[in-house]
Amino acid sequence: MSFIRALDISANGLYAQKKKMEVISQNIANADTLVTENGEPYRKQYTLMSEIRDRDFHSALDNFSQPRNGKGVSVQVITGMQEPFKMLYDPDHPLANEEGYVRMPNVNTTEEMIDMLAATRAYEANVTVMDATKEMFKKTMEIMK
Amino acid sequence: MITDLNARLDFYRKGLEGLWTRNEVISNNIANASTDNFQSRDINFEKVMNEYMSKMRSEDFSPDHGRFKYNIEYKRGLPVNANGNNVNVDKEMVSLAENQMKYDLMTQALKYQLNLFNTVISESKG
Repeated sequence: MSFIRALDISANGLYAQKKKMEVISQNIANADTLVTENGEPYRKQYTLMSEIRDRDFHSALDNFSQPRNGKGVSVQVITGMQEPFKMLYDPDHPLANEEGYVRMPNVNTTEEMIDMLAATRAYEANVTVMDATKEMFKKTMEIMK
Repeated sequence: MITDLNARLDFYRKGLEGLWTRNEVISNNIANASTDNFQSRDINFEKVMNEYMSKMRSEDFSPDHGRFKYNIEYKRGLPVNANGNNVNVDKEMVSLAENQMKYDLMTQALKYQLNLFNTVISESKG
């Protein structure tokens, strides 16, 4: 029974969702960025979540026979997603090619908004879990009162 | 009397340990609610406690921790999302609340037991 470990799980969850929000904000803010440092339009970023598991030998073996509880979630940001750019027909645009198309960032704003909603809810869920853990710990402390 | 106290305290110890572990498992499930290919888990709290309680009623009971061990299990038969994740956050939140209430109840009961023993001890002094 470890109080800190239980809180760590929720803290990891909070951090991961906050990171996701950051990436979404970055994507939405750059939804119209036509030129970046490498000359291309902005490419969207993506967050990849994975569970944190024990890394020692015993638990690696155990994972085959008996599932164990993880230690929360870790988040990785992947930049430069290779989805094709959106093409906008605008012949008068200074960046238009010979056929009159402008390359737009591969950000889908609607998708980002939905992800943002999901991230907010997930963040709230983690806050609730953290409160519950805190309450339980308080009750443990009250046993000896 | 004292062996009785030991057995009783061990019962609460076991129960609180199980509920706390379940809280950790639920926390992990909720933290991983959007992790690809994550399978939600639970512990076999009810099963272990049932075994424990039925053994407790028998005459030659000794609190033996090796025999009553909680195991973490994957939850079966849940619908899986497109990303291979099968966490149902709403259900997890309900389990979380339920688990918290059980924990409250158990700490209250333990407090009551300790008070009883306290009374016994202080009465014998006077």
